[in-house]
Amino acid sequence: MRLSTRLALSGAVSVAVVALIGAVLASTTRTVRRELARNEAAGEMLSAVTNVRYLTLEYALHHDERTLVQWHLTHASLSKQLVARPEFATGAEGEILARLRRTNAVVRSLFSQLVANRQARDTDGRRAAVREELEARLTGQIVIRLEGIIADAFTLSERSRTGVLTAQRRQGVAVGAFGGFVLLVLATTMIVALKSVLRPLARLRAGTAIVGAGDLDFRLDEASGDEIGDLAHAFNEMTEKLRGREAKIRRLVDSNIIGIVITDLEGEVLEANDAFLELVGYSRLDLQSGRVDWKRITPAEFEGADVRALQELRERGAYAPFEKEYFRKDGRRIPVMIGGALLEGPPRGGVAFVLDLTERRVAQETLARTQADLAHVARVTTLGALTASIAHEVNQPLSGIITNASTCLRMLAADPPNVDGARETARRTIRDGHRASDVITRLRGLFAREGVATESVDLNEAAREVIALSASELRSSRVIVRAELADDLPPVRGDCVQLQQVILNLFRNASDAMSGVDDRPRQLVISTAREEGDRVRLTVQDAGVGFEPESAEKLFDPFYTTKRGGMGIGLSVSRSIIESHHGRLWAARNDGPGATFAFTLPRAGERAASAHGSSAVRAPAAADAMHVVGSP
Amino acid sequence: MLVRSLVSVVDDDESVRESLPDLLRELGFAVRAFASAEEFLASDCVCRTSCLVLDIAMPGMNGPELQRELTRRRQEIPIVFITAHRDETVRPRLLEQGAVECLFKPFTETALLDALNAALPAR
Amino acid sequence: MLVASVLLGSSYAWSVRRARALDADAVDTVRIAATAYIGACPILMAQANGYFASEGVAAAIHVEPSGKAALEGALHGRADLATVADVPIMFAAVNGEPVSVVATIATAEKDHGIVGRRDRGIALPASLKGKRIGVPLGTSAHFFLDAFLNRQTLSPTDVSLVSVPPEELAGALARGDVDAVAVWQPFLSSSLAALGSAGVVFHGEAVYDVVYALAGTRDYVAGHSRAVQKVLRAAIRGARFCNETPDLAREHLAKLAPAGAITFKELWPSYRFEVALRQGLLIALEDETRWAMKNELTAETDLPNYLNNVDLEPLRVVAPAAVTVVH
Repeated sequence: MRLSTRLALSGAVSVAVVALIGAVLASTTRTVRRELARNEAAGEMLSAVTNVRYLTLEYALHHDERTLVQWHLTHASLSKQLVARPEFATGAEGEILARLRRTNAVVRSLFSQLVANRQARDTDGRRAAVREELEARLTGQIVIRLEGIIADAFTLSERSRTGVLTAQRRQGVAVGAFGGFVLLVLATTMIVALKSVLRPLARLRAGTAIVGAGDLDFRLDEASGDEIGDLAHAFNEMTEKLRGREAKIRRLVDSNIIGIVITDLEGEVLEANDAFLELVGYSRLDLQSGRVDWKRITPAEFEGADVRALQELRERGAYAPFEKEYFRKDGRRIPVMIGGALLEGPPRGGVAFVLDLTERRVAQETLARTQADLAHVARVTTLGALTASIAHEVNQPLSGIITNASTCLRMLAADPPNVDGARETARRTIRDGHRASDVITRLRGLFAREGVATESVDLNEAAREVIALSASELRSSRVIVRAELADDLPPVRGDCVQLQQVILNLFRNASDAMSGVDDRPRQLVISTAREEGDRVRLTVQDAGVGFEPESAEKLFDPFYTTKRGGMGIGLSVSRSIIESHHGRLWAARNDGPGATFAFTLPRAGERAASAHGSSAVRAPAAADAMHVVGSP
Repeated sequence: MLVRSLVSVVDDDESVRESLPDLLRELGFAVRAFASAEEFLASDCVCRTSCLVLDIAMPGMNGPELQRELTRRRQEIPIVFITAHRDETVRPRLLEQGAVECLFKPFTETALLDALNAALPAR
Repeated sequence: MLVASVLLGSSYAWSVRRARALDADAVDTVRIAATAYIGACPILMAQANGYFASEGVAAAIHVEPSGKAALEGALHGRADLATVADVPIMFAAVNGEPVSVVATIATAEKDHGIVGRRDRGIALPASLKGKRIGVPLGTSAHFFLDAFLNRQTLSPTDVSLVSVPPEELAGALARGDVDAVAVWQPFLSSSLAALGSAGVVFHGEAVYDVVYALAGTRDYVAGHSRAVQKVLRAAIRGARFCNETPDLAREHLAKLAPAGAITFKELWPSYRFEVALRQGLLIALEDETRWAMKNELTAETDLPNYLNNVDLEPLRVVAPAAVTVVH
């Protein structure tokens, strides 16, 4: 039964009982009043009949007029009271009243006889003895009857008194019953409250504790069809929803897409999914035994980051993902990215995702290696190119030497020997020999600085050196060099040699591009400038034949290298060098004739001493080398 | 007097143009030297040339391009390529395209003679 | 709280039962000499309904033919108490017997009467003057006649009294030996029945109400107050029974006195069963004493102090309101 129904019912019952008791009280009050009225009436009768008796005796004593009159008055009053009274209408009392009336009438009659007798005695002396006896007898009988009346009136009074007492007792009983009823209601209410409300509520509270502790399979008994049952049902529904939500979260956690770990606010691991355990190489048993200790699996160098992260977690409710490493159970280090947020409690804690960065690290390392390889390759390519160039450079004089020497032998073997011719060939031979020697010397100088040296490079200086190096060649090619080098150009970090190679390559290409140009000055403009974002740009602009728009990227194809002869490195290698310096090399068509090649490099973080001294020393030799195999 | 076969030497390298014609003359050839392929084509020796000693890498039209041009012009001139770039893949390709020989500098007099003999079977 | 109230209730009930038990421990044995008169109804019904037993009295009741005989028995130790009417009590007291009345148990208004022959000129009470009236002399009927005549302002000398035993009165009247008879029930009814419509009966108005009492020796009553109280309690209940259920009472009485059973129903209304000690008793006894002395039925010439012949104490304890004798 529903509580509201029960309350309504008990309310109705209470009202009914109160009404009943009220009715009882009202009736008993009426009864009391009635009995009191009867009591009063009986009292009146008693006093009246007492008066009559008194007056009877007084008359018997004095038999005077006054007494007679008073007697009649009193008797009349008594008679009036004995006339049918509603107070004594029924039952035994009615009979008593009837008897009273009869007796009263008898008294009257007797008294009349008494009076008559007296008067007869006063007037008639005859039969004095009889009359005297008669008077005594009559008086006696009157007294007896009056006594009877008194007794009856007393009975009536007694009965009404008993009636009052009974009624009062009944009132007392009613009040007592009311009190008892109130107690009963109280007891019932307490029992009902206990059974139907307090206990179920206590069970509900216990249930919330159980569910709050994590047991989402717990269900309350909703059997009672009342409001508590409704509440239990709502509670169960809520628990069900919680379980559903928890299941969703659990699915996410258990899906093991990513490592998830639940910690307290100190970072201690409370729960972890399989993905995380796999990541750190611990078993679930280890976790449950508490062997997965946050601090133990974190290398010392990341402790600070952990502490900061926990701080941020406590203060802002989340911390930005950061990279760290864990010690796996087998001791290996594993790079991870970890980010987390606050988990509301109680108790409050955190949830963190842990992403294995091993592959990325591997990829990064591969990339770095590849870049190193590429740089190496670039270098090697450069070297290769250089080697080819060297071979080329050396082979040229060597070939001359051999040819001239062969010619010399032939000339001397002729008949007659061509001595002048032989002399000429010998001279050329010596010259070529010197040339070859020069090439070697030059090349040795060029290779004085091997390997990639990362240093602070002043591009302006490097450019000036290259300009100096290629000065005579460019002059012979009738190329006019204009340098617009920015003041206070920030240094860049990199390999000076390689960067000069690139600049040289760009010079050569520009020169080549203008080799067939006659109708306009063969102007080569080299400029440097600061760029936004802390970058430095070097630009080489020519007035040559330019290139087709669609060839813009093809220029940088490795294959393109073979088309250009001469020493130097190709645009492909140049680009890879620039890119390994974290820069960018590109080509652009001019508004007018010619092309512009430019590269940007990031500026160095600090100013370092320019290290171009030695290159300044070898510049002249290099410059010569540049022009040995000159095209055009 | 015996008419000497004309060998045209096309090489942008000056020292080659200095040294090689002398050797060839000693070997008994008439020699004309040109600094570029265009110079050769512009000359009157195209038809008269019995053999072409051709540098591969030259600014402007390079050796293979001259070869192709001559083929286009139906000038079947045997070509002996000479080059300072020692690239092993180049030689087979050139031979495939009809060159008689491809010599790497420095080459011996004997190698040169062999190549010329191959190019000019009748002497 | 419930437990406390249960404990309280049970201890109270136990104490009450203990108190009752104390009383019940002593069972008093009382021998009562009763008569098969209507007036003895309270005592007879008390016995019949077991009131004596429930009040803790082992009452042995034997029925005497008359009240006088019953009183004799009590006065001479054959009984402890007796049911007896006022006149025998008066005679016993006047003659110095140590009779002590413990209570009146009934009054009868019309127990005595006069039956007269119409044909002798008796139509009204006053017409008794000069007639022959048969009456058992020295009995209550004699007293009644005396009072009746006095009420008509006649003296006994105005009539001729003929002494006739009660059982012969009906015959005497019927034969005409007497003009009227004065007697008590049931003889009154039988006398009237003997005459039929030729007879006339007078009771008089408030001439003489017979008072039935329970009496014993002064010594017994004084010495067995507790027993007497128990008897009185039982008698009060008996009187109530006789008032409220007359049919059942009559039934029982009929068993004891089958002869008078027919008259019981007729007479019952004129009886009033009440256990009391009234001033009226003394007045009646004194009135009767004067008659007795006047008619030389006793040698005594002084009116006894009838206060000495009532013991107010037991009834005062049992029902104080019933004692209206001035004390």
